[in-house]
This record gives sequence, C-alpha cells and structure tokens, in this order.
Amino acid sequence: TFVRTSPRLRHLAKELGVDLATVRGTGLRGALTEEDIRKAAALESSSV
Amino acid sequence: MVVGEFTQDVDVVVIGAGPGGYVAAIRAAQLGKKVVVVEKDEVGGVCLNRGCIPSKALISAAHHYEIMTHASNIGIQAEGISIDYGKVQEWKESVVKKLTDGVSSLFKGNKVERVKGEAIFVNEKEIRVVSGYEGSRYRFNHCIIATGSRPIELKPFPYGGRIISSTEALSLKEIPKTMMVIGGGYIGIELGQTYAKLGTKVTVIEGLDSILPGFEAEMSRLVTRNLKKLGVEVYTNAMAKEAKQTDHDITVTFTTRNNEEKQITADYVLVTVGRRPNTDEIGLDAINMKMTDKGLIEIDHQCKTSVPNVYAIGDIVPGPALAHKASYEGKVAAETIAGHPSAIDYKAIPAVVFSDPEIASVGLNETEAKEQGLKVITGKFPYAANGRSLSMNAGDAGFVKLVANQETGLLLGGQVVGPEASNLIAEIGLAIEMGATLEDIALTIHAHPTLGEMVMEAAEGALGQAIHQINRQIK
Repeated sequence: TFVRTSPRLRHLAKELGVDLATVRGTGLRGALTEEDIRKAAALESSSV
Repeated sequence: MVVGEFTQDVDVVVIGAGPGGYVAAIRAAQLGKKVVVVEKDEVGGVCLNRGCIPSKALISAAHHYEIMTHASNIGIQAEGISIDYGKVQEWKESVVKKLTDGVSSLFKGNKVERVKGEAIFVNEKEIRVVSGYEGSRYRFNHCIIATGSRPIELKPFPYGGRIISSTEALSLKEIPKTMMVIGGGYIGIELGQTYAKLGTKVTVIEGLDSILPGFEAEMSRLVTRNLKKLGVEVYTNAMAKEAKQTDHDITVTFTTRNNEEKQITADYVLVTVGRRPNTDEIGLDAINMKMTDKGLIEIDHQCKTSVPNVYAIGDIVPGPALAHKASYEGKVAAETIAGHPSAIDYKAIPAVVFSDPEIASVGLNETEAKEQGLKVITGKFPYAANGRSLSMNAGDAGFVKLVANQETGLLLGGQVVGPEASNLIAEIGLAIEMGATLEDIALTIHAHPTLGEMVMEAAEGALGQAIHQINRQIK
C-alpha cells in the first residue's frame, strides 16, 4: 500500500488525470518519478 | 416566513467557522469564490475557543509552575511561588482572542462575509440563518458543512452544576481542591494532569484496560508513571455508575477492575468520554443527506456528500476528530468546488497528546503494522541517551521509535514519547509522505545537540548501526 511518491507528485498525477496505480515507477526501488507520470499522461492522451 | 426576510445569492456557503470551516472559506475566497460563513458562536470554533488552544495555554501555565517548584535537582530553588488563577485565565483568554481576531481579519482580507446565526437547510440550494428574531436566506451553488462536534453526555451524569465538560474545565474561576475525571482519553488526561500540577487532587477512571486508548501500552505507561508521581489515582477497567450532588461537593460511585464498588467525593466531575457530531439541528432531513449509523456524514475522496453540491468536512465526517484533519479537508472541499483536481490523499495524520510526557504518533505503530501482515523492522532511541535531552533535565522521558517495512526499508510510522514529541513527529510525518526509507533518515544530517537527533539514531538503530546505543543482534 505504501508506494514511494511525494505529495507533489501525487498532486501532479491528479492534475494530469493519471491513475498512479497504473504507472510503473522507474526510480529507486520502483519509486515513481515526475517523468514516469508525464509519460503516462502523454500515452493516455495519445491513445484516446 | 419572518417579515423582511430576503434571499441573497452566493457561490459558497460555509456552515461553521472552526478549523475546517474557516480554512475552507479562506481557500474558496482565494480561488475567486464569493463566500459567506455562517457561525452561531465565535469564529475559530471549538479548537480556538474551547479546545486545542485554551487547553494548551493552561498546560503551559501548569508546566511553568511545575518547573518553578521542582527544579531543586538542578540547583534552583524558589520560595513563595504562588498562582493567581484569575490572571492565568485572563492570559488564556487573551491568547484565544488574539487568534480569533486573526481569523476575523483573515476573513476581511479575503473578502469572506461572516454571518452570525444558526443555519438550517431549506432545500439543496438554500439555507435559512436564524439569529434571535431575525432570519435571512442564502441561495448557494455550493455548501460546505463544517459544524464540528460537542462533548458526549453520560446518561447518569448530565452536564450542569458540578458535572462539567471540557468547556467548563477550561474556564474554572479557581483551582479546585479535588476533581474526578471520567474518561482517560487525551482530553481527560491533558486536563486532569494540568489540574494535578496546579495542586488539585485528581482521580481518573477509565473503562478500558489502559488510559489513552489508541496508543501503545509502552507509551501510555510513561504517562501513567508521571500521573502517579503527581498523586493522581488512575482506575482502569472502571465504570462510573452514579453521582450525588450536594451544595458543596459531588460523590461518584463506580466499580473497579474487580467489580468492587467505590465512592469518591470531589469538587467537580469532569466527563470526557468522547464527542458527538453536530449533524442534528441543521435540517439535514430536508435534503436527504446520507449518514453513517454513527450520525456522521458520508463523503467521497473530495468531501462530496450524497447531495451533489453539498460538501462535509471535519468532526462530522469519518476519521479522527482532529483540527488538522478538518483543515486539510476544508482545503480539498474548497479546491474541488473551484474546479481543481484535489482529493483526500494523505498517507498519515499525526496525533499528539499534550500530556506529560507528550506523546505523538504518525502512521502505523508496530502492532498495527503487524496486524496488516507486514514484516516490520523497528528502531527505538531513548531520551536517556540523547545529549540535548539530558541537558534539558529530561533524561527520564521516553523514546523515539520508528517502524519500517523490513524488505524495503520504507517508513511506515513513528511514535515519540517525551518533551517536544509534538514537534518531533513532523519530520517523521514528512518522511512517510515522501516515501522515505530508514536510510534516507539515517543519512540526513541532524543538528547537534538536538532532540531531533533521536529520529536519526532510531533509524540507524533499526539498520543495526546506531552509534549512541548498543545495537541489537540482527538475525
């Protein structure tokens, strides 16, 4: 249940409409990075 | 309808100006909304007027008194120390007034309109505000309900006369000679211990196994120890049965752990057995609000209720009844109304008790983590081995404990017992939110000599590399 993200990144995900549960983190020990979230957002908008 | 009653249109109506309501109102106004706050009493709600702030002021006064009278072991001896309790109360009131005035000027600065009166829902788009014989109506696009809570009354102990709630206990004109506290939760312990320090003979009875339920026994034990030093009698597994008042005192009958009946006579009986949500008397039946069986309003992750344009925050929704939780929800509700993608999204809420020693907890404690089936590793560092603590004459206080996931090192929670626990918990809370590991904390340089070093050393201890204590054998 504890994923390594900061409150700032969780807020960014909400702004970009990204569901963090579907994003794979590429950071330290699977931590989510800002890039992971932005990439996921770009993917989602291109697949629509 | 009252003659002359007129209806005003607003974007957002906030009902209640406590730490949830006033924060929600300010944030909504910052985001460009026209906001009206309806409050029947003073701005600041329970927290500022008869909760967090006045209780901490009295605790602080009692602490100062204790230091003056109990510092002989560090070579300081004072004579003729006296308390002018009227002055203490005046000072406490001045602290409250400064803060409530502050909220009022924040309202002015943010163009939030404050209306005095009781709000009652007419329908999903309209409330009526009644103040004395006058009434007015507000038609709103959105409403945030933040009506807070009030002390629960025990049936055989109705408030009045010598049976008092926390509100009256905070405003006693003089220091009572004797006081009985029914309910050993944080409110009862904070107030009971404060009066004990001021010289009152205090007895606490608690229905459960231990005082301060919700905190681990290794924490509450240290508070019990200090209560005993102050001459406070604590009865656990005890049940209050009845009270008889005379002109000058009150006698309480209760059963002890062994089912023996006991009677204690005191000047006052303080009943602190919990708080109930103020969800009655605001006309919620007029809008078909969905409630839980405990009388709380059901909300989603954006504080939305079952009525689409009505939000609810604070003590009237599920979760711990804490001011900082209410304020957080207030911001989420206001931002959601303004169209922002906000949501309730925290990993942990810190809880603090201003007992002596202070206790604070955030995230999971060891027991809770294990109950969730997690493999945990813990690190504990005692105040007795911290230089700053000893130089503060606080070497007999408690500890800092960290709980982490054994496999990943991710921090799951932390507990602190001792001076400044209330402040030390903030770092641990941030670490949890950031997904920090034990290593992150251990590798962060903490200033020396400070109490905060104990957080670093507890992390080092969990990793088997503490410097100022002998490390446990790690399997």
